[in-house]
Amino acid sequence: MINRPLAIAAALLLLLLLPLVLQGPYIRHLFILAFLFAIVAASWDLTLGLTGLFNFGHIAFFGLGVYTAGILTTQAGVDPWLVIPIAGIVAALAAFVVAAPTLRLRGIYVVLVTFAFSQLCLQVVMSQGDLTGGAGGIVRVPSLRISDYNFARDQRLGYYYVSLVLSLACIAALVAIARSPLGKTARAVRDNPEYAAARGIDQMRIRLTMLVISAIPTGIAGALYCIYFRVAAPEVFSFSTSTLILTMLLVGGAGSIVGPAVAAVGIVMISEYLEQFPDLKATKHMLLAVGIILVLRFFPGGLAQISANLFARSAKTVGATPERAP
Amino acid sequence: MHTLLEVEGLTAGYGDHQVLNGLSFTMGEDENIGLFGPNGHGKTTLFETISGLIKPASGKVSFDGRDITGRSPRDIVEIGLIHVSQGNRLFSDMMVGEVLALGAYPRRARARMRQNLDMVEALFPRLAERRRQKCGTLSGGERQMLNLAVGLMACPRLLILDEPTLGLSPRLKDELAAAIARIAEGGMPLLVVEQDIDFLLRLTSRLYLVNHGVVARTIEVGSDSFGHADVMKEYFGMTGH
Amino acid sequence: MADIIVSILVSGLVLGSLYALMASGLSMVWTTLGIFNFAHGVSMTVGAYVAYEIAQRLGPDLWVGYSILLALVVMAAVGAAFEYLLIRPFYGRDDMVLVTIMTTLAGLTFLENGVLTIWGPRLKQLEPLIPGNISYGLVNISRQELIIVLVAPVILLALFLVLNHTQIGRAIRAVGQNQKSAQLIGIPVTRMFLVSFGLAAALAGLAGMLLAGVRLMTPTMGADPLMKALIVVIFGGLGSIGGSIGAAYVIGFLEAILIFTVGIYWTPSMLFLLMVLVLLFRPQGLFGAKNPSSL
Repeated sequence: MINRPLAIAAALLLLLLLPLVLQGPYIRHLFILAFLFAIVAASWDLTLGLTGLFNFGHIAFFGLGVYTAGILTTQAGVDPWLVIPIAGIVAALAAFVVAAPTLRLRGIYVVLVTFAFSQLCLQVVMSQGDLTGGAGGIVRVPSLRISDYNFARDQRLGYYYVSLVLSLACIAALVAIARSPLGKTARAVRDNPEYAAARGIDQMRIRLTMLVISAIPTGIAGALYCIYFRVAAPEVFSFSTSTLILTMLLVGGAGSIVGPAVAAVGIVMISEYLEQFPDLKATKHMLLAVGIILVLRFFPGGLAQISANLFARSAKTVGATPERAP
Repeated sequence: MHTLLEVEGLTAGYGDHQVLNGLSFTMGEDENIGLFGPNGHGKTTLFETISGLIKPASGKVSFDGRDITGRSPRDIVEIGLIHVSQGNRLFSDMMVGEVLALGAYPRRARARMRQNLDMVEALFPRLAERRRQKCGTLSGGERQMLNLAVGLMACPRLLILDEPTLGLSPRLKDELAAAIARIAEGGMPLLVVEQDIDFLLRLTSRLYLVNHGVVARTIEVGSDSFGHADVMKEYFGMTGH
Repeated sequence: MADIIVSILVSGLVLGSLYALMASGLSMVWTTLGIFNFAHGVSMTVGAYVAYEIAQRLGPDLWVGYSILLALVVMAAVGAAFEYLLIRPFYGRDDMVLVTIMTTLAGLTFLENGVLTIWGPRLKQLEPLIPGNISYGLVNISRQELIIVLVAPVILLALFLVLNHTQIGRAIRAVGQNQKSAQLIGIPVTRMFLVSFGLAAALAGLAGMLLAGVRLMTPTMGADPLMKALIVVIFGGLGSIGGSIGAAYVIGFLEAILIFTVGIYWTPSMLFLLMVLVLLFRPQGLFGAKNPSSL
């Protein structure tokens, strides 16, 4: 048995001190990516894992955040700090638009519409070249600054802390939502739709709320991703990005929120390590795909299941298996 | 007498829930057997295990001297052991004619498809009228007729019927019972579960009372003057009412 | 004006034919296995590249049609292998619909990147079955497009006849409607799954091979057709193969009209909007039955 709050505190302290120990910009870069993807994976888990909403267009909210930041900073001259919350709002609005037609639909149609929506976003980005730069994307996105301090010139120390703080804040918020009455109801609806219907729970309202909530951190992460890389490229909408995040979600354990966030760190490390070999780019995605299948086949509970056995106290709350079909 | 079906010490169930607890019985080539007993004591599970839908935990099923324990439903159908399951809804979007044709899916039944079709349509003229109608639109009685007919299309060497008249009106019940009697007269060995004891007494030569997942009692029909009243006494005596 | 109408009609027919080949397989797999195969689009890509590879090996003297026939056999095997590796291990799980969405997405990523690894990102082209164009009055169409327009209905008619008038076709449909009853009739259920997947992959592959004679091949060439097939099955109702085929032609014509009226850039958005409207008012699809049996 390990003391859970103590373990969390130790991990946080480690993350805070890490960049002071590890001086190289590359290792910080890895963690920045990991923090950003942790947000995306955990917030996707809120809908797909915890609520049991068959949302397969989550990557669209991320991409919208990326492009909102790219377009507003380069074409409207909006301050990079300001576009971060704006991107969250844009993603939330998009979630609202997608949710409207899907809420009354049954499982598989929700999958189709959300998936089609993400593909639509890609096609719009590709075709509206004047605004989005088309296949080439948007370049020279301005970096974050605090008066004269330029985040682009500090060996990524600033971005490390900005993304760490945003990531912790978003994940803490997501965990709080998962533990709130809303989260509990959502889980109850997922596990037993008939019972929920009998109790008069408004499933549509829960699904709408969850989808919109999950879009906000995702859009925020997208905006920071764009500002950090200083580009917005259409690849963010690709199957490969979806697969990458889905791997984090499944490896971490669907429905556990924290699990996917933790898994994101490990998977980003592996994925970026392989990125050093440009010839292996395609191979990397193939490995991730194999990873998804193996996890689904042999460890359907993911890391959360394993940690649930470790932290016996929390065995009741984490380690939920992927939701069942309604 | 040659043994057609032999079940020895069969245990089986669903997940952790064991329903059959070492059930054994035999059935000869020239006889019809009836099974009866309280619901939930293993009759349907027994049939599903014999037909390969459920893998037994232990025990042995032999058909015509061949061990068929744990074989796939397909192999078992090919051997000629046909299970007409209870309340089978068949294929609601397919036409009656198509379903009958599909009944001749086993290799050994394909060559005799034409003759079998004539035979079942003579037995159930109503199905001939409904040949182009979808299964989903049939009445309960018609669907039960189709179930039997599909079973017959497979050229069975043994026909297992699980409550063939369940939920039917008395008139339809009589009609179906008459058809089953005619099938039996044609020399088809039948293994039947029914709640209607009179029906079983008329049709079969032996009854097995299935209780708590075993054959609790064997009753030879007609050998002595064992009648309805005696069976009922057995049945209710057993369940304690 | 007349020439515009004719060219819209021709392009609608070509698109509709391709979408119909795609959507019929997608819908067949859904009706038999209850699985939505996201890798269906990439089957099209793999089909085109396999045919290309075979044509390269056989040399330029041999007619490309032979390569296509061989590639169809390969695709049927690929489809069956896909079912065996990515779908079969998950039967009987109560979250099977969701799990197989993820495994087919993983399969999509795997195959797409596999194509990229083997054949590289460079654009490739397959020889058309018959080169050249045909002009007849206002109609101007390449012979390959004419073949697409003529072959697709023949193949789909053959599919219809197989599904409705052969034992194996009836068995495939039966398995989709009631597995237990199908087993009790002696239908080998899992083999039907293999057949269904193999057939669907061959159909998608054929669409890819035919398209590769008109357009250049890329490792992501299946993404857009998958998206269209998705819209098509939503329009047609996922559970109805006939409905999907009808919807494929409707979408093909709609797309041709939209490209002419609102331009190629806004066409995807308009189609998506239409799809959303259809879902709002007829969630079971335009041609779908009122009460689909599952999900």
